[in-house]
Amino acid sequence: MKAEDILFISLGGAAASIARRIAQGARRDLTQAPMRVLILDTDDAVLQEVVHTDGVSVTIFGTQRLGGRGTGGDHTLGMGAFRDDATTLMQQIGTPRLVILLTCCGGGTSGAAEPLLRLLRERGIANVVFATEPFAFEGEARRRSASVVLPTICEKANAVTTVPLASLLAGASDELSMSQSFAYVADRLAAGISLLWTQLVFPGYIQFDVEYFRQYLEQDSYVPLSFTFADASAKGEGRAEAVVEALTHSSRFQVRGQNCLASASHVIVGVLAGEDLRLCELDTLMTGVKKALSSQVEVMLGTVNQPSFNGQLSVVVLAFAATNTDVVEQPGEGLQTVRKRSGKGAKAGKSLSAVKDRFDDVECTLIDGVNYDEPTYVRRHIRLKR
Amino acid sequence: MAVRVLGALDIGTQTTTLAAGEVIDGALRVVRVVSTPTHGVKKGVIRNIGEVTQTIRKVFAEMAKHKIDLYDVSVSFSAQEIKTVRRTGTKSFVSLTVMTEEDVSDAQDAASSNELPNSPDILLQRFQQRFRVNEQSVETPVGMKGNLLEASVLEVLAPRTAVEALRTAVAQAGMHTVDVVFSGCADAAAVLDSQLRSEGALVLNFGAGTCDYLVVANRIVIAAGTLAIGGHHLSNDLARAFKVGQDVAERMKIERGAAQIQPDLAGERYSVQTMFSADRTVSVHAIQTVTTERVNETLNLLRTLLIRQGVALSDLRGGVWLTGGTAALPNIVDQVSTVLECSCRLGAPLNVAELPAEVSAAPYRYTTVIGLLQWHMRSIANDVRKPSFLSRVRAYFKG
Repeated sequence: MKAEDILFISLGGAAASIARRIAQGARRDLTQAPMRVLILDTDDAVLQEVVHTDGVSVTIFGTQRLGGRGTGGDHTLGMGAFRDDATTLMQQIGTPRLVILLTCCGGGTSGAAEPLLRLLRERGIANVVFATEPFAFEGEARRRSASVVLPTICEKANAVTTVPLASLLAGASDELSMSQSFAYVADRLAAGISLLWTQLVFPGYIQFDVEYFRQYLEQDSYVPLSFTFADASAKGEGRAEAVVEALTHSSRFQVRGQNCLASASHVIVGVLAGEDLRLCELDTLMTGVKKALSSQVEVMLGTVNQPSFNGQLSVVVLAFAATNTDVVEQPGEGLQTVRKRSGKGAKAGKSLSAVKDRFDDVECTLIDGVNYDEPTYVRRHIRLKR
Repeated sequence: MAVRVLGALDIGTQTTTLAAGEVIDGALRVVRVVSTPTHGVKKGVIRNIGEVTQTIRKVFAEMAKHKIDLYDVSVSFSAQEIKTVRRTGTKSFVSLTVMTEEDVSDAQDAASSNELPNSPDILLQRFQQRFRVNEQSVETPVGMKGNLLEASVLEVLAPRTAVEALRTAVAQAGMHTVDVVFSGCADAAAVLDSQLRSEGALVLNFGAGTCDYLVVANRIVIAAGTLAIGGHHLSNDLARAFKVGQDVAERMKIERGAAQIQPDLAGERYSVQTMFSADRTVSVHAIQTVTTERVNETLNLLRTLLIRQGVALSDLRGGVWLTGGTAALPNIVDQVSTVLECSCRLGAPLNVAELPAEVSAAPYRYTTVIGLLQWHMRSIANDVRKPSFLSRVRAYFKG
């Protein structure tokens, strides 16, 4: 996939500042292929903050409705504002192969995410969404707004990760000042997204199969894939071991008391390093990561080597939810992960696929040539109204 | 006199149930019923003997906590490969002869299959059909005059491997299988009284793995079989539709599934909790579309199978009696009535002196295991009445 095939969209003021960091970082470290970034907001104050660079464009939408003053935290205004200018915005977006969308839920402009994702889907543009949840101290109104917007994003996205901002700060919050904390959170998100983008755009010695990833995202347009991610960087001797330690113990992979790595079905490991990356380091890295995974996990690896990264090793891990694993709440026992056996079918073909079928390992119910184990709504081509 | 305790074991796809009963003054009293989730069974068939053995041990241990130790048990059986075969045997006479019981027995023997030790199928039950004397259909030919007696039987056959696996699992759990009974027969034994058997009725057990059915008309079993579609297909459809795990889908089915769309709920949204993403919601209308389509299709398929087997649904004045776990699905009774064009009611065990409280709450879930107890009770009564095999051999040689 070429750089122009991927568009990074940030939606809202908080996302814009992270987009700025990503764009600047990409310009600094990876000058060969500028990242296409589209910053969307309803508040024209963002124009003053963004340093204009190659590939970055800023659009204020809904000016007729909002006068460029923002939504005041009302997500319905964000949604309405997007609808007002949907035609223009979609022309601006064009026809990339993949959109990476970042939005910080809790703010009003994030309300535009749902109509945006719907239009992307209608145009066959695959998307990966990073949606953040506000800090608890940000107040009840922002929490409530996020709780309304997040499910609509989850319904329309191809793949989505919801990132509680507090989880990005875990372990570092006590030592940082307030401004440093916000910068730290923005950097963590920017690093994760940049690393994913890097893997998608740059060829490496071990090429990440981007088309395969895109097919994976679009395999079933009905319900989004959910994933969680963490990144780690280290320099000097023992950097591979340090990265493994940081990743496998990352609080990002601890969700509701469960280890997402241990229960993931598919994992993407993206490595960004200099030309000095050694194979034995890669081996250490993959062995360490695989130890944290279950034996049936499908791991996709991509490496990008850039001279500007000599001496440094940065790794991002995206863990996609095992769709045959669910958290089951047992009264009095808290949350328990229920893991089911995977059948023969689980390995067949490109089975990044989806839900483990209950009847994979049993003789099918075949009557008059019809396989009745296949869902009725599928055989009858019934479109479910969500 | 010591009261004999009877045992019945129903190893369903979802739940294994063990019942203990006793016969007092000719009436069955169900003493205790205990259940546990089944492991190692899919679509009614044992996939893992070890897991099933563990399940049986667990349920027996549960029963033992109530100070009831069972050894002999009747066990139910259900599987996709259940076959029903109708066979006819004749006895002809040179001249017009008055038919005796012995003649009837000879004609029946001629109709019955000879089961070979290595045959792939094993006979589970044999049901007597109508007799014909000189091509005239009669109910009991004894005392009638004719020179050709035809007897036909309906045999329920099951794959030997599957039945042996069942026996092995029970034996490994330290129990003895007295009898293996087709689930449909057990349900009918529990649910139908003699009036319904005369009027004609269909007993449909819509379980988790299979739909077992048995049709009785004029006191004769005219059709029986199994459709390997059950409640698990509903939850699997939901899992596929909404990309959730089987447990979440099962809960979704129980909490919002229905056999007909419920207008008062269809506008609502159902909250689904998954591990990686924020809690999301799905439309109840979409959930009910998935379940209603499956139920509707299954019932229409059943209707087609019954018609192929010569069942005239409109003649079943006793209606349809619905049992099994999926019978708890809202509106399913109405949907069965609509598709099969018969009145439908939830089945409950009849002719039982006393039922435990856990059974009374949802009796349609326990008809199989209680039917097994009744079957067991009748077998004991028949054994007392019937001459033993040895005495029959002695009688044969004595002439």
